[in-house]
Amino acid sequence: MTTLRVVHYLNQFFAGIGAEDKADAPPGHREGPIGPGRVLQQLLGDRGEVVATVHCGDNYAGEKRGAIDEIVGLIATYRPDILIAGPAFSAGRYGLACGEVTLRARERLGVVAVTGMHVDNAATEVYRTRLHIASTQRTAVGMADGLAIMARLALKLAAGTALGSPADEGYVPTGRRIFEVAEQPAPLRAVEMLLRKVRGEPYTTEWPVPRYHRVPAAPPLGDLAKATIALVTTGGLVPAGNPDRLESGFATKWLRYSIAGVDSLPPERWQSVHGGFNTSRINEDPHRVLPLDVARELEREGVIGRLHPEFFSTTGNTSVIPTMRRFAHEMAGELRAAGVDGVILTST
Amino acid sequence: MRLEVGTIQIRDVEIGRATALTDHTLVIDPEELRTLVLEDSHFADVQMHLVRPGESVRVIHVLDVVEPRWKVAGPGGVFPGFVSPALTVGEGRTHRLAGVAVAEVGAPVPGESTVFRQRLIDMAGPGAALSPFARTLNVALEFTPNMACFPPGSEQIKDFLTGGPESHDYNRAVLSAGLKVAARLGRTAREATPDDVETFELSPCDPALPRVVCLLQEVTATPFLYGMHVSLPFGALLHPNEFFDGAVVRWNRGYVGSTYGEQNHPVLVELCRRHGRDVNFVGCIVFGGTTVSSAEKEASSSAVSKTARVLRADAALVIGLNGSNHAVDLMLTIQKCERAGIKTTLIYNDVGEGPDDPGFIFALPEADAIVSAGSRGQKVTLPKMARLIGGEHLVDPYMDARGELTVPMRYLCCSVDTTANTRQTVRFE
Repeated sequence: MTTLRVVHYLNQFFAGIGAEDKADAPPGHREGPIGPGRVLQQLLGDRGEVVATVHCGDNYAGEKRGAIDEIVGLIATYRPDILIAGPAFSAGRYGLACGEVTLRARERLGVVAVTGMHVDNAATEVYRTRLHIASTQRTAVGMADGLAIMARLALKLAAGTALGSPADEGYVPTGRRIFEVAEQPAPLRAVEMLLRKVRGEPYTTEWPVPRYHRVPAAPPLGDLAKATIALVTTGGLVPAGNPDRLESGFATKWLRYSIAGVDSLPPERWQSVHGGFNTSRINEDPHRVLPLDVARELEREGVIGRLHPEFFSTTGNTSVIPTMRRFAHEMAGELRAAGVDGVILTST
Repeated sequence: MRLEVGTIQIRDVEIGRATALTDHTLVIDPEELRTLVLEDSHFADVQMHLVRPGESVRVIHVLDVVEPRWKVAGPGGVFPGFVSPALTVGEGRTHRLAGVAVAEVGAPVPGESTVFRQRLIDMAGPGAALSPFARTLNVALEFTPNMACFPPGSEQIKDFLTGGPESHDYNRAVLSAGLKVAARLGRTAREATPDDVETFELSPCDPALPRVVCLLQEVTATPFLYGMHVSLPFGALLHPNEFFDGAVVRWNRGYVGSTYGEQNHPVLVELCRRHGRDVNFVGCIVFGGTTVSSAEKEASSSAVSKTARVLRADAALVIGLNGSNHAVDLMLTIQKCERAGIKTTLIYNDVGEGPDDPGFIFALPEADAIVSAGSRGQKVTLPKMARLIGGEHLVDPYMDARGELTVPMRYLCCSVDTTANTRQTVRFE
């Protein structure tokens, strides 16, 4: 059995350079393990050798252009098989540095790369779909446990061994789907699970419910009378005949239509193609889903500064979340670039 | 309520001069079925195709699928509200032609909403392994509409959910025709000796067994109950035997299952078989439909969980419909059951795509026991089939069906559906 070459990445604190006052420290390196790296070495046994420790100040890693390239460059000089970064616990800047170093080391150097942090570390959400992140405690109390998970994951990945479930292996779920054919049909599994639950016996869901990230509301508009307001809808409003073929469900696109100089949306010119509700009322009066009539009144009365000359439309029906997230980013980017201050979003 | 279901295992289906059951072979006179269907002026013609497992055949534009059954003793008849009087069923004796399915087939008509229209059956290849109807002898009825039913203007869609009224009437006629044919074929088993008889009866049992209710969620495309098509926000209490006699008929849309699936509902059959053994199955609540506000969702979920409490349920096996605002109704129902001390397990399809999509539109932590019944979005590549029935291309989006086809799982008729008749599952890494 060959002993794998392991490089360990740490921040300035765990590398013993100093605390917050040394957060600007540039990347450095030293042969062999430092601090927690000694625990890591014990956990790896003779299957891996911590040949070097690369470290960097958290601020330098996060703010200095090219910092991650410098760090990855230093890691490369030791020709490792494995990179282990952290664990970063709940430290935000350290978590982001570990995530980025892990990702880039894997992509650029082709090494097995694993990091570790607490599930609430903001970097977890940024990197969990792309990396194996060991789930650790919030603080360094969980150092040995966290490193044990990381060492085990890294050795398994290096050996090409299939990983078990996130719960069994101790990593943050990556969200990757494995389509399988179960031994038992769904009804049988469901009755068995229900009976275990009723009897007070342990049961494991096949599909954990997600933790949603709340989107913080934007601050209120200062002076509405000077604001540019845009109309956006997920109500599937399109010109009559649907010339751009917006889907009635499972939308793959969003569309823009000019309302420059237009005061109303007559039903013979506009229609909703939304396939998730009875659209008859909207097709009698399209303002029920895009309140252009009232918005123009408010514009004339000076309540709002002006109405953006285009509205955006898509269908929010049986939608796929990442697609909708992309639409939101694209729409928001365009509206911001066009100087729009606020949006009236009419959903259905 | 005691129902005996007698199963006659059908080994082959043949075309003949008189519709009859001979030993285990079903002989069909296509002219008789044609006359039966053409009693209804919605149709200009109907063509019958026999499709067998293993044949290189692709059937597209599949609507509902039904199992031939016939009531041989007891009150009422099969498919009440469509074929028989709309009286309570689920008692006496019903015979079924096992291994046969009547599939309604037809391209969209003018004014029809096509958003959930995609459904196909491949009888061979990888698609066949995924569809329950690749294992049945299928009597595919390809309908030709009477275009006089679609006057100028009927192609204008006012409501994209249900389509224009003419298309709605037409599709109801298709459903009725399929059920009539299924009943006619089922009638051949009127005097047959079943290979097997199973009795379904929720008789009084050991009071120590956990009282289990089955909650079946419906979305906007609610089924027909006894021929009535109504929204059920407060839920309807049904005995499982009513499903087996065809009281629940599926609106023939997309991924919402089939009447065949209701007649053979695998969850209800499983609960019935375990009744008195390790569960006390107390009944089914079909619920759902259009709830347009959070107040309506609160009202609906409160009412459904209350009915479960009135039934003194200890546990609820929930079949949910993912992928729309109804997920809110579902999760609230689960939460309210759990808060009332009713333990829940949910059977659910994944609708997510990509690792940053959790597959839930909405979720609550009380839903802590979920069985994954496969993914609607999983891509499946289907090779070219030698014979194509029902048309040449899919609609919305347009796809040529003549050659190789890559489609999401939800296009494969009932491979993942509301009855959970699947071993497909999704594991998250």
